Amino acid sequence: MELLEKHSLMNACPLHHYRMGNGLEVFLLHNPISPVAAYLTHYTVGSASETDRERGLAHFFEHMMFRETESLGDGDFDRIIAESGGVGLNAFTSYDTTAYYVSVPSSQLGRVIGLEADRMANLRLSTDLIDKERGAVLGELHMVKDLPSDQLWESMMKAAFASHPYRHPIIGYEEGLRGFSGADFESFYRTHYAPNRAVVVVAGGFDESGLCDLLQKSYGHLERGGERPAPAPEDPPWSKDIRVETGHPKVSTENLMLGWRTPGLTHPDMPALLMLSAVLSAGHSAPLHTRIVNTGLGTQAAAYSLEAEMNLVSPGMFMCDVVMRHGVPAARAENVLLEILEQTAAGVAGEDMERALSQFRLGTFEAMRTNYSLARQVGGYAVATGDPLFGQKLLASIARVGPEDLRRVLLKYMLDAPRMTVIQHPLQAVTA
Amino acid sequence: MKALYQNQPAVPLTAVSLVLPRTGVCLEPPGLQGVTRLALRMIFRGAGAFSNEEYNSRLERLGATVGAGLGSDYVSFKMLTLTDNLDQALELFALALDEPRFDSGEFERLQGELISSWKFDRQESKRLRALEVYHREIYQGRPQGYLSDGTLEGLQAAGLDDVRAQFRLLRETGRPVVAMVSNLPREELLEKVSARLGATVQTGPEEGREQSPHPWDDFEPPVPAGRRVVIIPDRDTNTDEIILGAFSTAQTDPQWHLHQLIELVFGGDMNSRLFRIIRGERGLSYGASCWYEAGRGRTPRNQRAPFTLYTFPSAEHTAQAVPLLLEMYEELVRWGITPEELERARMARINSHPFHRDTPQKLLNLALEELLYGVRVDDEESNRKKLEAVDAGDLLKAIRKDHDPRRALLVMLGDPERLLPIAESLPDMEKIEEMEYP
Repeated sequence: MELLEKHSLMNACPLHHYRMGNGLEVFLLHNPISPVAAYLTHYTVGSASETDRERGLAHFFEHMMFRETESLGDGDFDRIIAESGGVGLNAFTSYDTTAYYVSVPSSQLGRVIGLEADRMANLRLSTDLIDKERGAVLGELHMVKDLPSDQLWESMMKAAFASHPYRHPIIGYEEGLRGFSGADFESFYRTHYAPNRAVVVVAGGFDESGLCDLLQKSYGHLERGGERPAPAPEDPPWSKDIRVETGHPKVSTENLMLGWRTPGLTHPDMPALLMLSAVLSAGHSAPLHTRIVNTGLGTQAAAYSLEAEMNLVSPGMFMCDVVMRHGVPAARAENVLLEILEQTAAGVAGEDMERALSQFRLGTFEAMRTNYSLARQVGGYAVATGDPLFGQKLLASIARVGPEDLRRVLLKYMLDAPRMTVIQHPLQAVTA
Repeated sequence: MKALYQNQPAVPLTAVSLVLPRTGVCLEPPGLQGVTRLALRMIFRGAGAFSNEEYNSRLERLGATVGAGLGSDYVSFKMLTLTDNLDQALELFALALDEPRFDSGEFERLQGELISSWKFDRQESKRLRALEVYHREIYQGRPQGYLSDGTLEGLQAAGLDDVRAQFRLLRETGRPVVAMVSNLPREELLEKVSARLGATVQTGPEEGREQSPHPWDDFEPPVPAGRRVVIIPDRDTNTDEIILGAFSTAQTDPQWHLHQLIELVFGGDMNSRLFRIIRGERGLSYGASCWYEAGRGRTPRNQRAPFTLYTFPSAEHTAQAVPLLLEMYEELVRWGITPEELERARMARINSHPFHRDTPQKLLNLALEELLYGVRVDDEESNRKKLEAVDAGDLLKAIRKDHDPRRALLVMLGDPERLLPIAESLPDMEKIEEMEYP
């Protein structure tokens, strides 16, 4: 395992970047006073990596990673982690990544490493266990269907992406989930799970030399797999505004999402777009709060970058979301949001720039308060951009953004560009 | 000033909380549930010479945030700031606590916002609706059973005078404790906090003087005559919410270490019986778990509180999941746990001990819980010795002493036409009720 780079984070925590001969990337964040460590394994596969007939398989597969391997029976993985004193064992599947994580006492890191390396290469995918897990996955799908906010999100992504795979729900579709066979899982595993498709992040207390030996011993012999496929082609730019009105039987307020296409996380305009999101909505004195929440139009209002929120590899959107007050139509907030954008383009007070930057700094330092949050930030950016220090660099770039930069990105991506509007109504109110 | 402190040298942030014990939701007047939440939110909506917007703008430019916490028996006021701006942030924090404006226009806006949020939270979360009814019913309508965000009726009925009066009551009743995490050394931080918050914390009853009675002081869990089902109608749903529980023990129980083992084995993680059987083997639900509420902080940790089982099966599986859940609880009480299960749980509890103390915030919380409730977490060696001495017979005795499924409450949220026959098929149900959610 070769040490490629040594860095230091803003909190003075050392970050050491290693790579194995088989392509496994390892980031070690050493916190000598911590008696525990967070262990995260990110795979460079998510729902956007699926073929059309695989929709939902990345997430279903994530569930199967907790079951059997060639040497461990069903339930052994969870049991050994629990006996080792592990806490917070879980995983998530996103559009471009699937991450597995747990925190353990530092003395137990060896067991986790052994288990994670084992399931990277030796998973058993029996039909019997797939069928058992199918019930839980369908249960999750049914739970998501009952959540109005998740249904709104799905409607929004479907409207925003005409052909890019981000348009499909991560959890997939019921028919597909019912039909996946053992061969589907085997093929997915062999295609996407390999050391060169993974990033391991360890944050906490450990002896670095001993840890490197353990990692090398457990992962070093694993064979390299196929390379990460290129991201799906970008959708062509929107030629006109998109407007979608949808309904849900369980909502009693209207919900609004506005979106504009943006160029991707690593684009030079991203710091200005992130600063814009903070100027618009970071804090109770931000315009989205004072003009939408404080005036009684909505109960929640937020502006954010989809790329940054979801660590997207492909370009995403700049979003403004509002949960309306009961009885207030979404169109009223839509008009106010557009007014706010126009006024922001006309000029931003120094106090608002100061507020946005201070709140960014606060958020960045908050993420350094636990081993897990630190590891997740570093790993998430490493997978999305190839740069584990991306978050820190972004903050430095954001500090240099001025009001004229905000005006430029507002005109380029929003005010002079097509807009997507998605409104969720109480179901009985949807018009034909 | 009673102050607790933890150092976090590597992160340039300071968090300060002012905790008022012996207050909380339980002090709300009948019919005004939610008035405390309104009061806690109002104080950060304008203070001293500053309007709501001016106040928050000044605070947020410093890289600071403020907020409040609310439990059944406490409130806390919280501030987090970049340490570089601590002095100014503390001044603004103290101003909100000492001179809140309680502006009537702001109150009207806040009230509307909280009512709308209350409805939104419940439309988003069926679990919240089910848990709200579960707590209200298991505490048989007593103040201890109300959730911290109040009731719709209470939020609607509260006026600005009620909010002012509630805030005054909180300040007069609670003897403040300051809890802090910072990269600054203790003495330096204490000096700053004393200088800015010194007068603010000199409220409440004096040290040594008897405090006014609190509803938790003489609390005894209600004892139902038998097993009962409450069905909350919610049609056209894809999953149902199932909550089953009965009163059990407190975190200050000398046998709490046994109950932690029981929780872990039965429904505490992915390796537990409930999760393994209901999800892993039968595929009936995405999740199934259990917990002792006394260990979760919703109620005082030194009070007896319910033991709760929870699952949310797909509607097609509810008819299998509900009897199975009840049967598994009865079997736990009948047979206890196996030596193998005990051994696994014992190792887990011994090895996970460092997680009690792995962050400054957790250390601070431990100190606060010890101060307020007398909860003590054993050191690593004592923990090991205590757990190594446990056998399966000890666990069975503890289970039988503090669990009684015959008096359990079962709350089911879903389509009543489907749920009613399921409830009727369950053994020994004394009462089955359908209860429309407000």
